[in-house]
Amino acid sequence: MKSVALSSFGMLLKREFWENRGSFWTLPLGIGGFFVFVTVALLTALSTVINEIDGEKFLLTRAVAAIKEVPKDQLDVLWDLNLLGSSAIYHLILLFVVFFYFLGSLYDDRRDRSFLFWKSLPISDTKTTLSKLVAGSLVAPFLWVIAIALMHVAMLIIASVLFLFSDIPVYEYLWGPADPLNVWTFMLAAYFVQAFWMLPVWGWAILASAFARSKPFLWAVAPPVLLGIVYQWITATQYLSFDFSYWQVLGNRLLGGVVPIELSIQNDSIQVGTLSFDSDGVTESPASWASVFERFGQADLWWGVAFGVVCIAAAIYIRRYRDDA
Amino acid sequence: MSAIVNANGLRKKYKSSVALDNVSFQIEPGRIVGLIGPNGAGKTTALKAMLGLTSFDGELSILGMDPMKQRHELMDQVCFIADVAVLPRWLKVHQAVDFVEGVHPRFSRERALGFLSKTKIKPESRVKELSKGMIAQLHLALVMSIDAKLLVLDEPTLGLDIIYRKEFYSNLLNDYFDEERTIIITTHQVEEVEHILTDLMFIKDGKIIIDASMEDIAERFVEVMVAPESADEARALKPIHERSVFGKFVFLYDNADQLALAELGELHNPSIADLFVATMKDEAA
Repeated sequence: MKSVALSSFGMLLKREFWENRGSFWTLPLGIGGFFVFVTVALLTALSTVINEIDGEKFLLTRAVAAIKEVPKDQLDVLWDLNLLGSSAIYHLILLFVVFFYFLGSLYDDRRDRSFLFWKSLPISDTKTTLSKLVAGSLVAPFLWVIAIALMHVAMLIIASVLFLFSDIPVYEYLWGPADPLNVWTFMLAAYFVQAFWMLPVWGWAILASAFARSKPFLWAVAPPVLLGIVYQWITATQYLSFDFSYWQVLGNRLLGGVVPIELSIQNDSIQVGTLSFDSDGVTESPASWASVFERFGQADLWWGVAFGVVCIAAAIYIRRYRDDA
Repeated sequence: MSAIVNANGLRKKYKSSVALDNVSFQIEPGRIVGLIGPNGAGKTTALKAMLGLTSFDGELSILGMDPMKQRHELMDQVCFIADVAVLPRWLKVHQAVDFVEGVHPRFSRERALGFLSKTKIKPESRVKELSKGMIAQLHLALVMSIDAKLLVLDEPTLGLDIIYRKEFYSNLLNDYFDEERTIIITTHQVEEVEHILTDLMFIKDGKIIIDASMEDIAERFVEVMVAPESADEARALKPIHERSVFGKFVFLYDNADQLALAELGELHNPSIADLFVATMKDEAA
């Protein structure tokens, strides 16, 4: 007999990757490919069509030269902003990808009855469920960050070429101040924190996935919406009042994570994280390690974790004991 | 060696029906047991109870383990094929082999690749690209490469061509079965399994109505073909079933006086299919 206890969790993660290769890996690569293609196409068009305007140096070069106007001590922040900004769309899409992944995680294999094959092997339902949680909240973001990094590398190379043609010192203005490695590791760390922050949402989706006999999306979305309607109705009667806003709590949880950037929703405004704008422009990088890890000190996060753990425990129980065959 | 399966007073009720009604049985090691019964008789419920897939009342131990409480330890020793179509459609053949190797301590990769090399299944194919027969071959190859004590097959050949069905059972018998292993099969296609079974269990309305080895069945049940003029004489000996063939009558007896029967006509052993029809019909024979 071989010992497979340790390797089996890795095998379960691999299985999730095999099944979801498209949304975990091909999709973010495709987005990057699209970005790079559009950029190259646009630059080519600009450099050939608008070349002759003014009879001076062509427009593109002049636009690129604008970087020389930026104060030297703000270049690093500028590049951080660029790198993080260009990845924002990835983070937004990933939020949906992961949500739908979890909705299908304990549902799809019951629909096609292949769960009976998985259940014929000596893997506990706890291990199966946890492997899906880890795949969606850590493995998928990890792969997406790698895809983002590849896109960044391609874009920085394109920028370097552009700088060369525009007589801008590439090292001084790009490779010196830019610190992509810091941005990538920051994103990975932020996703680690995000996994805890989003645990109640992901746990809820996994529970809906285990519970639903059909339409897991409805089971995931309808109860919180109905609860909101009840909340609205109760507050409208004014017999009861709460010292919190239900919608604010819900909105904060869904959008107030640390990725792509901290958003905090107040009663009537949305504040964008720790970015500080003043007369000098942006002076502080949004890639703030400290503020991300501060989350672990918030009671908010741990209440969410507790709710998430309860949901996941319930999902495991249903997966194990309900007769779905 | 003690029994592989030990069931005592098994009961399972669904909302509108009783699937298992106080069922008790034992299955010894080294047997191939056919669990036969009409739809809704409780076969699948019995199998699911043994595999820890459904709750039940009464006592049940598989290899000395409680299938509800020790399910995942039990799956180290027990394999099952629930239906032909349960392999996930997106899975590639080589991934299936890698996966089972990665999670099952008793799986032999060499054996699996050996079995697969005798088929036309390509390692790069996805399950959805395979025919039903090939999916069954793949599933059987995986399962036969696991050194398990108990193999449970629930309608394993449903919807397969006759060639695959025959091959399925001959592979099972030649490449897998030995005196250490036990196989439980449920199927509608009784004719195809009867020559490989060592034991037979008929289940009807949640009750086991026949539980015997094939030798006992051969001794107990006998068929006689009788000319119409002696039909009344034959009926007097209390057949459990009668049917007519080419103007003659065929009577089926359980534990009858075989000498008396021999005077009525030629005796022979009934096929399981005939026995099935005879015992599953309601008492009015």
